[in-house]
Amino acid sequence: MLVGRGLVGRGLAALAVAAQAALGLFPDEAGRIDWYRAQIGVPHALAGHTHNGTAALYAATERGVVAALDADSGSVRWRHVLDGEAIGALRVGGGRVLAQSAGGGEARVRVWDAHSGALQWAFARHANSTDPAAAEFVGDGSGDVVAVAGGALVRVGAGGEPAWELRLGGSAAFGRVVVAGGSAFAIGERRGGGGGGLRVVQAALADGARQRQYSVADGQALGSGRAVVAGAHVLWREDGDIVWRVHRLGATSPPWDLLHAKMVQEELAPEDMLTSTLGELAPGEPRFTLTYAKAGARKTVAIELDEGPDGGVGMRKLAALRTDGAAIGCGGGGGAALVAVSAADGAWRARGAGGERLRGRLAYDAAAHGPVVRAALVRTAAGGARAVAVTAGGLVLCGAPGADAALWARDEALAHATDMALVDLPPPPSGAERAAAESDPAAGASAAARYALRWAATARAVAAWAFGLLRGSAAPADAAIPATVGDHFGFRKLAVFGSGSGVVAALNTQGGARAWARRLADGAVDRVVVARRCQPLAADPPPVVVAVARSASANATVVAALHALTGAVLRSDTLPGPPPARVLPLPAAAADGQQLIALIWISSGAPALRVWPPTPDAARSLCAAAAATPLFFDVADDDARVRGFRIHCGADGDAPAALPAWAFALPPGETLAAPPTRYDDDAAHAAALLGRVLGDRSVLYKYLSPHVTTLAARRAAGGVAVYLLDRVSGRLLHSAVHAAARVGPDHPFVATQAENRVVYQLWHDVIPGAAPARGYVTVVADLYESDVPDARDARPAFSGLDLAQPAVVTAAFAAPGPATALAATRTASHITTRDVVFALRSGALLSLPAPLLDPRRPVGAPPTADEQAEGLVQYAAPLPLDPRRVLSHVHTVAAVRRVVSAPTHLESTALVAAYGLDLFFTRVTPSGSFDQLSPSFSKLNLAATTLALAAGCLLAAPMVRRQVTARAWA
Amino acid sequence: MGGSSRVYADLTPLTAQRRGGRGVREPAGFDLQAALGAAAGGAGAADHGRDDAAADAALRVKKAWEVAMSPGKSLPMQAFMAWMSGTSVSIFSILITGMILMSPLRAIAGVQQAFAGIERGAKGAPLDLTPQKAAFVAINIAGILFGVYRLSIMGLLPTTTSDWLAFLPPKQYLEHSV
Repeated sequence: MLVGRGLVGRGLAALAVAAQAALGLFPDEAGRIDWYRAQIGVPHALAGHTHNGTAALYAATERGVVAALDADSGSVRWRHVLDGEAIGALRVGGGRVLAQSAGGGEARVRVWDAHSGALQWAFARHANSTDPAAAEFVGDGSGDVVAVAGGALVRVGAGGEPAWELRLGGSAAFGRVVVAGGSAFAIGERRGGGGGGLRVVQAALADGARQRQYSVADGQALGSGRAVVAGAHVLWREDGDIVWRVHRLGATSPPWDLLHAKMVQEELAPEDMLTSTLGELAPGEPRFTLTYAKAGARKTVAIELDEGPDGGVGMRKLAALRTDGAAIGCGGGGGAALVAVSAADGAWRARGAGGERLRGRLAYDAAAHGPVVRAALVRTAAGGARAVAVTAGGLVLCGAPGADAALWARDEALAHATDMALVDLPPPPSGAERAAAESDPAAGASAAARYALRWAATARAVAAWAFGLLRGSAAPADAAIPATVGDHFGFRKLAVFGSGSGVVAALNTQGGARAWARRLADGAVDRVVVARRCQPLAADPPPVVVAVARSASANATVVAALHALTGAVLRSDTLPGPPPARVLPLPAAAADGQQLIALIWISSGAPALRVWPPTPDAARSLCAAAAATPLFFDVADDDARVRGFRIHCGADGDAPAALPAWAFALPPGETLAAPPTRYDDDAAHAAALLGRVLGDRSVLYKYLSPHVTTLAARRAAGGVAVYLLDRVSGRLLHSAVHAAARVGPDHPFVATQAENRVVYQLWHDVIPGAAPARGYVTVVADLYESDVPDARDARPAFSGLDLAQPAVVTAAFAAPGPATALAATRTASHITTRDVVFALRSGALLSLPAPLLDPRRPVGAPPTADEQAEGLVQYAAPLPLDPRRVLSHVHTVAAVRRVVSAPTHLESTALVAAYGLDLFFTRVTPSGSFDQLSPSFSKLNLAATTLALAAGCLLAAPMVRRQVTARAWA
Repeated sequence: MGGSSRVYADLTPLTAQRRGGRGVREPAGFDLQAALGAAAGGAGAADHGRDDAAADAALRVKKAWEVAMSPGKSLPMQAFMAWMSGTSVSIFSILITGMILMSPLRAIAGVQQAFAGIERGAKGAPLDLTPQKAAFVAINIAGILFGVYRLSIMGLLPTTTSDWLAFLPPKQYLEHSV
């Protein structure tokens, strides 16, 4: 039902929305109950540039961000999020920043103003994501760019209009562009037979006329360590040869010159040359590196090519460094030539082109952030130098020469967050506990002394509170509270993140202070699970989070149990082989109270199942739990099939395995677009009320099965089918076909579930006569036990195998915008209304109230008296983008991957966390803060009034007594 | 006027005066027997020769019926107030409904006190006012029923399934799925 029915309905809907309490923050609350961290991701290309006296560090990152950082502070001056695009080249020059990217079926070139970040122009050309692309500035001050995009060499000028275009043909994968001598060269590796080699197409820079095309460096490939493009030259070393051949692009006679490395590095012996490797140093500049091993040491030499006096090619050594265990980078922009940052301790050395020697140290915690893998040297506006290093764990460091500590550091690991779990924290210690901690029992203090100490501590706390009250801030500053200490309301928790760079990091949800970080593996952390919660006593076992990470180098999976409050590794196991397809927290615990984890590897038969921790005790615990309550899980092991399995143990009761239970095959012509997903956990299905009260006070009983799973399938005939399955029986509970819908990387299928409600969003195209409008559609499906009021299955216990089919009420709405994630808010006792939070691609987090998404809203007519009593407003298709309901207020929370909600100890309040590129945390009160005093409530007034009343009573009592006596005598 | 100028009125009933002093003359034109006869009905009027006790009893029975019927006189007013206050749940309608319910309850609880004065004054054998009391209680029960009806139309009676929804135990499921 996409069509709004008249102004009346829309007006009523608008009134209903207007009547909702504004969730937006008051100005004095912004940044106090919420926090936001703008991130850029791990840089893969760095460039320094000074323009108009302002120096900045420019970065292109693996999260598709182009950003300008302040070289002195590391703060983000500007950034552009190219979500879903892979950035290939980053060039900075002449006050402009050029980025070439690919994604969404297009190759794009964009140019921004280096200072302000304002987009100057953009150019896009249809291309496959695997097509190579490249771009370079023409370099004549015009700001024009020559690019390879969509199989053509294109010169693009101001405004993004192509000046000329030259088709390159399919003979090679052209991934380089060089501008030199009035020509543009496209260089690519030859395709097909012929033993490899490079293909060069030369075009006139002025009009794009094809001047020449030829092959060079037969048998060579760029990136192999034996061939590089250095400025306008191609340099390579034949296999088994010790000399270099260098070809000046466009030169015909001779086609190449011979150079010997001994000319610049005398100590080189022929055997050193045979094992040496070539590397590219500065894009567009005639420089390259030679790396070789000599006497057990690794050395790197920066070399510059130049034109010899006789017209031939010559070379000179710029710098040489020992680079054992170091990441090598270049300086760019002239001046500094080479920088090497030790992967072990962050010590760095740099050599300038004029022999200038620089050194310093970038101290950091290598256990938390991994070794340095990338380095660069940038110049400041004053002519100084800065060493920049990027670690494998995603830490970006910048240091000045001579300094031992980094000038600044940006931890970008969480821009690649893959999973997050929230850990409850122990409450703050009471005055007595603080006093006990302060007193030294070993000193033999008496009980009376400890009693006095306790009161002294309490008095100090009261004095501090009163002092804070006088200063206008009764609560102590959050910064003063350790990140691993909670509060009495459950607002402070630890958010434990897993990152794509192998880092597990814990942040406090209030303020974002980091508690700890640890790098587990050189691959991504796929899953983080809270395996044991905080216990009330200090002597109890500690809270535990289990992280499952990939070890890319060892082709293994690392499963580690970490102390949730300190990050200490309590247990770690390395399981050889590929990573598990699914990691399932099980409803069973080992003897020490630690929750068991199932690791599932999918195979053609029954999936392999391994229980962690891999102990006999854990297996027995799981078998006992599975025997008491049958345990099911499902896997999508095929593009067109979902299978369900039951965990089964053998006769000995200690070898759990997966037993096939059911299979659900999609109809012919359909393929899975979104696998079956479990949203949140069992609490997603818990409800304070088992039914929905209608206007006539009858009840529609909710279908609250915890086994409902949602999946989406792409139809060959067009459209998307959405299925709700029962995970225990494999039964189809509900299906809906959206004939005009489309699901893909650009238009993701996002869904969430809360109680008996499933909400999903997908893209709809225009279909004449069927779908009148193009846009995102939000579909809501409410599941009830029956569509007959008061009809209920009164059995006290249910089996998923014999549950009745639910009655489903659905409605569709025009979505408030393209969403990248959905989530329902969650409170402790599920009494509070559950809002649905939309993470919009625009960077807004929008929270919509449940009544607005109600599929029972009357269509085409005003609500009847009963419907009004039920709280229904007339249906209107658009879901409003109400600014008062934007939780992120002024912040742009970019590229949100997931939104998580967690309860606090206050029923009215839920925590909402969003992570993706950026991080954002806040608190929401969907039904208003009914269990809290408002911030404007004056406790001082209350106390004064109470005291005044008491004083009045004391004063009036004798007067009243006298009057009563006099009346009795009258 | 000084402090001693208080006026005392002897409100002893006429019949008592008659019992206490025969010499007191009736006011001019007043015939006590005729008055008692009119109060006791046709039978009483016809029987001028009955003794004073019978006349007294008849008068008391008449008064007892008046007391028994008195709650019925307030019912229309209560109905009007209820109508004016509406059926929505508000402080005013709740107060009115509470009054409608509490007045009859209080009256029923005080039924003996309501008729005590009439019973106590009887000569000889105690006067049997059971029918009057029954009528009194019945009329007050009607008032209570009206109040309950008010509660019903205000939706405050737990007569539907939704009223007991919060007390339903949560469902138990025999399997786990992960």
